Amino acid sequence: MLKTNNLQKVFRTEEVETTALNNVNIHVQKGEFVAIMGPSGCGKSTLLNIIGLLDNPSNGELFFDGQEIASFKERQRTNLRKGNIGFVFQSFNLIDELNVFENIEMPLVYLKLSAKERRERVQRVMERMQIAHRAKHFPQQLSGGQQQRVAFARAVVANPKLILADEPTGNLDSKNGAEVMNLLRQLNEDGTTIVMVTHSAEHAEYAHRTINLFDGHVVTEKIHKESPVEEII
Amino acid sequence: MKRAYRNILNNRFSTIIILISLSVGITCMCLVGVFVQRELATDGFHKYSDRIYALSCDDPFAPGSRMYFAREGAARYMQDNFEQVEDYCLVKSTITNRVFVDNNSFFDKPNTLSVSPNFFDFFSYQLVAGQSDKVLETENNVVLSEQLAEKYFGSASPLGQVIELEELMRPTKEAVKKQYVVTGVFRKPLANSHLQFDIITMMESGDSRAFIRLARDVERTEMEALLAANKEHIPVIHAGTQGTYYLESLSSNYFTHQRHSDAEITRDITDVYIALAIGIIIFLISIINYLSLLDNLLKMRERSFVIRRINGSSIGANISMMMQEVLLLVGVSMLLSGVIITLSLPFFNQLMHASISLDFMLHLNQVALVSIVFIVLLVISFVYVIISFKSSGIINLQALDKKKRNYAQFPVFRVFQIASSIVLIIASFTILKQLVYLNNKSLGLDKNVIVLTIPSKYYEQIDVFKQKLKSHACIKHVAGASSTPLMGHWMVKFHYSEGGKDKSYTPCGFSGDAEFVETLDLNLLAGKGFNVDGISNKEKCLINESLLKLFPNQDLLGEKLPGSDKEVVGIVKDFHYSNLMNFVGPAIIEYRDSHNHLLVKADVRKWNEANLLISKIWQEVIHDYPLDKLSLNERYNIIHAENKSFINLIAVCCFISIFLSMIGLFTTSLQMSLVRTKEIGIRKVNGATVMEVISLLTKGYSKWVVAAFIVAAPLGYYYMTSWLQKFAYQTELSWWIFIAAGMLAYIITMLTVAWQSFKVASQNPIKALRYE
Repeated sequence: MLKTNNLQKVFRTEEVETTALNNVNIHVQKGEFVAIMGPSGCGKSTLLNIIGLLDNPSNGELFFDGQEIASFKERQRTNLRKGNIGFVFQSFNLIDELNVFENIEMPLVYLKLSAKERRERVQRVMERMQIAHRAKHFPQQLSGGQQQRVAFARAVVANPKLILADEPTGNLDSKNGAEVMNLLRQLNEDGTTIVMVTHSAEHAEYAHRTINLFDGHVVTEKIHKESPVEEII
Repeated sequence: MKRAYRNILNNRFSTIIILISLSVGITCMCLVGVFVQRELATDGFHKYSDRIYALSCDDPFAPGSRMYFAREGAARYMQDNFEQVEDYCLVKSTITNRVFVDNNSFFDKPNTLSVSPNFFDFFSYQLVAGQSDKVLETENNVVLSEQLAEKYFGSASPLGQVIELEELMRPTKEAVKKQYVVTGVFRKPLANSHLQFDIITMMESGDSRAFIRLARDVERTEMEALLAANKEHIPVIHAGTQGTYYLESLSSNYFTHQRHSDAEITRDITDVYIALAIGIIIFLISIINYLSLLDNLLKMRERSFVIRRINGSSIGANISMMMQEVLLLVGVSMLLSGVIITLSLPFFNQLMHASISLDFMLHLNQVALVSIVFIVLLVISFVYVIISFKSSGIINLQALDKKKRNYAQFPVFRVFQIASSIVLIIASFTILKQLVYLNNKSLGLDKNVIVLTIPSKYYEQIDVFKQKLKSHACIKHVAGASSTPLMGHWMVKFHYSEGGKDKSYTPCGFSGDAEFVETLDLNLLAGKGFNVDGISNKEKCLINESLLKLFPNQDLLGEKLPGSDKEVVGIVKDFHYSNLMNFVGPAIIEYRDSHNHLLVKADVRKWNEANLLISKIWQEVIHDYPLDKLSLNERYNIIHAENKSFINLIAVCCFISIFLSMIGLFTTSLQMSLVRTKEIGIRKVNGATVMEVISLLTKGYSKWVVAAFIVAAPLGYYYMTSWLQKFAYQTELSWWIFIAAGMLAYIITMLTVAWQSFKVASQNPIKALRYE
């Protein structure tokens, strides 16, 4: 489903040039749950952002379902992201001015679904995430765990093929962290491909495979369990 | 102060916007304030200005209105017979065609007044040479302005020098040359004076304007009652029934439409009010920009203020620090506006037909006005800082907990800014449309006719001039005239009896020779007009349709004009002869064979050739006078110049208003984009396109424009309908003007905010997500 070919990302300022990713080659199969680990600054989030088309690589190729997408224009990138990729962030990234329902509804608005369908889909996903009773609440009225569930609901409401989670448990206590990981596992079991960046070895255990990055290089890969797909690197 | 300076430098963008907004607003307010102050204090510099009154009387030619006119002896009678009248001064405008000094002649047509000998004591015009009670001792004395004295005599003393004035006598315009001895030099007043003159001579006799000075504590109404009670004894112009005199205060003299003379200036008081209103609006727009940016500066500093407080600083010390920044910003803006005022003063004078000098700006009153503006700004800022401190978390130390800044948007004020711009756009479009309408309106005569004003010395050569012109193919017609439409006319009152009742009417009069009608291309509706031979025309006249309508049941053609011994030999279609603010009134055209004008109708295809020919023949016939030529079209434009000045004023104000409003909107859009950067990132991550983000960011501004339009459209309609009312002939206040104004405001607003919105919307979403 996802493949990178010598992916490079170099950040340049007036004084310094930093290589965040250096010829990274990874391959993620459909239905797989992959964890990316490594020390701070090794390029985990950068890799996730490039995979999610939130950032551009400096060099290299990126394939999504066999199609090269690194050279996509802004409009193409938006269209691909829309409905195909869901994002979950450490800091939740909910919009303070919108309530729970509206935050979850947002990707459906941009997919131009009818109000009725949006309402039904949001209701379903809220019930699944057990936050339906908080539909009218605003983010600042929720606990961290509840906010992350809203963020999950927003990420899955459009039924994306791929969910990219950037340290989804980073801002949560252990109980809420475990709940979030269970949610991710459940989503994966339902068929969604997941790529997750994490610092926690315990949480990485939820994944089928862990890719370790160091200084912008893939250094090791570890298979935890059998993936539901046949082809593994 | 050093820290304040550093903080201001750190917020360069806000500082620049504040300085631009404030300095432009202060400049407009100060210029308009000084202008209004100067206009309202016109003639206030005279020592006795509160006791001096101009005499006016009922206008026999225009029932219901008054004219500034006093019969010879009227003012003297008042002083001799009423102890309430302390003194009087007569003033009469004369036409000086040229001035001879030694062997040089100057065709500068200086404004000349013939006045009573006490002129310089009665009024407070300042003499720089000569004594006020001696400069006009004899009728051969002349007093010059400093500028003319320097022009004629250079650095030599003008006193005792001899000059000759060639004066044109009224009503014949015959030139008379007279010798004068310079006995004084006066300084033109810095303050405004409704009398504008370059040369003063002594008045010998005759009717004139008259000013009287009342004794202390004498009320104007009391004096007017006294004059009315004694009206039988006081000479006054009238048309059968003796009228009375009225007293017009010196200050109100300036704001009247009833005088027309080169030596007097008038101003429509509405101009002053419009300038004041626009000045205040622009000042308010700039203050809104300033306050919104000040608010943002305060919000950006909330954290630092709280940290200072935690570390021992008092609230007062924080406010004092903020006020130092405010003082610096307002102070620099004042200095900048001083520079802008200096640079823009000539342009402002041109725009407002004013003559404000830099010296005048430095007078105590004007400095006081500028100081008031400065103090007002500081007080507003101080109050705003206090309110902001109270409403923010600075006082109760909560600002550290705030995660997000809420920048001020001031929606009501932003709507006010846009609405002001829309009203001014509507005004600009309407005035422009009216100007186009006036330019294109058929006047009922040919505006391309060239009018040559012949010096009286050459009246006998007019026929020679005429024949020389007519012998060329590029000249179609030439007519002699002494009163020409748009150039000037006389008025006459005809009395007649109808059904045993005495009646009268007052037509405007024009006079010319047999080719007058044809040259001007007047449309002869009935009759045959004047005979070419001229002799049999003496007792004949033409009338216009409006005059015919005064006698609906009579066929005047071939009959004597009621109240006159002239026979009507033709009826012409109504033609315009003055400002289009007035309807065409009754008019007659008399035949005359003595003229002071030549009307030339040239072949428009050979326009340049005709003009060269006119210059050439003028040189041959009238070699010692410069060519005095004006087309009726040029004259028409001069008459309507006021409208062009008005559109210039409104257009400039419109531009400034839009500029300031858009600076404010741009700042708001920039700040709002910053506040919403992260939200934009989240939306983009969730599938929003660039256009959808731009639409989201600009949606609020569309609402502002719609709200502003709803406010502005009725206001614009009301004010422009009132403005059009002063024209007898008005263009239609079309609906498209309003739509166009609204659309223009919308487009300008969207262009202003879209750039910043596009910048934010098209950036990499990950940058937006990282933004705090």
